[in-house]
Amino acid sequence: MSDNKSNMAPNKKLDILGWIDERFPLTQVWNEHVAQYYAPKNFNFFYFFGALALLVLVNQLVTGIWLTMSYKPSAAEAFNSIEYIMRDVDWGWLIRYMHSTGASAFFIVIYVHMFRGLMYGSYQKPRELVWLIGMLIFLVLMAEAFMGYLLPWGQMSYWGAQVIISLFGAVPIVGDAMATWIRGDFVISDVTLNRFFALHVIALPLVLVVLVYLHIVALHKVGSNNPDGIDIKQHKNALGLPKDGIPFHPYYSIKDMMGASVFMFLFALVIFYWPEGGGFFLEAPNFEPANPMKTPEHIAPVWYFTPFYAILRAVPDKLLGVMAMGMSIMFLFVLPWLDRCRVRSIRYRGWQFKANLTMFVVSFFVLGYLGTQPPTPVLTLLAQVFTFTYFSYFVVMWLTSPMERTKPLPERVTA
Amino acid sequence: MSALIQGLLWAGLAISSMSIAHASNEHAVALDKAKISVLDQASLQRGADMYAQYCMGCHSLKYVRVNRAAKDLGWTAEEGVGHFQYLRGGKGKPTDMIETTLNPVTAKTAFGTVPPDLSLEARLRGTDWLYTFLRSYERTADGKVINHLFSGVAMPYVLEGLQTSLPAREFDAKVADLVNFLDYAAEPAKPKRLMLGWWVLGFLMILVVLTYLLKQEFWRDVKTQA
Repeated sequence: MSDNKSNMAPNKKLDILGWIDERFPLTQVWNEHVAQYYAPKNFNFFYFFGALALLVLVNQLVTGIWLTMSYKPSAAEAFNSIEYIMRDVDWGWLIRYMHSTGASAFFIVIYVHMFRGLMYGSYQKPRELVWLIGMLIFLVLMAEAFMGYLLPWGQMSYWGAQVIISLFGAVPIVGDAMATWIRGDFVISDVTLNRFFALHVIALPLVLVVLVYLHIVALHKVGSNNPDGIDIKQHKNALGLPKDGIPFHPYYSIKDMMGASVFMFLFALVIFYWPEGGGFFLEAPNFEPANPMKTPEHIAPVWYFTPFYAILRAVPDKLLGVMAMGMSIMFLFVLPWLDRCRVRSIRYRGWQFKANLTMFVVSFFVLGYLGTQPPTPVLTLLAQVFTFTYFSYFVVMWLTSPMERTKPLPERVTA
Repeated sequence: MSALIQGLLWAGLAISSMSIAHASNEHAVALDKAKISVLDQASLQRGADMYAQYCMGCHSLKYVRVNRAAKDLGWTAEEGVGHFQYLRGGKGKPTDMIETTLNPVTAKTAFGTVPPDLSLEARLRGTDWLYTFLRSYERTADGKVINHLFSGVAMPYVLEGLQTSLPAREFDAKVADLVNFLDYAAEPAKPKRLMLGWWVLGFLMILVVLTYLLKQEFWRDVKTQA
């Protein structure tokens, strides 16, 4: 691998590649982003999840296209068409399970990916834009998942959407008009289903793909962080290449193939033997067609929204609850400026950072659980406590990060 | 590898934190476990006959077509029509959906409600719920019918004759067959899914081993260099 013949120069030979290179920077792009993109050699388990997110995105796009071929976006036909896909379309059940399980897998992968960023300080300077674009991807992904969830037109689809859209009604003065404008009707109806379908299959996927592209471009400009959180460009060899860096291809392309294989194994395990995910990936009430006249006993959003839903319910006032829910995500956006410590990785940071991150993870999971449960006085109190600890992560980070007692950083990456 | 262990520790922490929250919210609904398998074709056949005899009078399976069900249960299409002999008042065709002939208006006057379609009931309620529900009927001393799981249920004690004439174990087995058929009806691809899964997982396991070996081979120089 020390043999790095610079083939950055366009291919001058008169072959197909040479012909293309005179008209399009194919070799250059390939080298810049793949063959000569130098990534730190000490990536660990958590660094699989960026590539896995891309894999799941492709899975969602491809299975989504095939589902669209048989799905009918109308209040009268949507539920039937899903059953048609599950029963009569060849392999329809597999494609549909890949898509529905894929949605949950997407969030699992993204949450681990984001957690990795929190742990190793990947949001810190100079990667603020990578983080901000990533947060935008997360926001769009939530909108995408929310709209997709209405499409099966089951009871939970219908009432989940009804509850979430009615939240806009909490906005003073224009709230109700806004909720009506979003629905296109006074209740969730055929009109809402059609526009959600349009947004779910065209608008938001386009935005997602563009944002993912920008995320990668921004990342490749500043280079990848690593579990030690140190800059590998400090030590370069005679060729000006980072000593602790290795080309993405073939090293990480092949390592990611291994990660993808393990992921696909686990993914297939769920699809074939646990497609409902214990009621978390496919909720039981959604096997009943939407009925605007009958409210289900208990309305809970899908698991990946429940931490934020629990924060919403923890606040007694509706408007303040909506604001708290919004803030719980907005605070993540400004994290690069809340963390005032210049050491990135958890490996070399003080006990405050470790305790704070642990508390944040516990809060996230407990809130996630509470969001699936019907509210009781005890559970609401618990939700309030953990909403407090969720937000305290950001405050404590801002307060303690400048005076943390960090460990000395290594000169070179550790194995 | 240490990062993997670290990851598992984080996951453990997360799960234990959720169980703390769960412990404060325990409430018991004891459902009996339905010991069934959609791969047991004989059980599905018995269940289908149970359905035709006891349920189809009122409940449709509007998403289940006779010839498809017959094929999955190991019958010819004509045999399927025979087993669902009351379909369309005895004039059923293989391409018919399994639908009741009960008039919704009559149903409303007789039961106060229209009996629901049961195509997806097993996924909506769960097989354990159905198994428990069908075995929870009881006729009290004053002749009233109650259901211990579903109070005020509109459905009459349809299986009373069976339950009172059969030993409990045989009755339970018959109900299990019926629930098994409903589980199949809720997801006709389930037998195929369960059978195919092993092949897919086996293939992916081989892929995991191969990509692991490939990675080891490519990474050898990175390891020695460090």
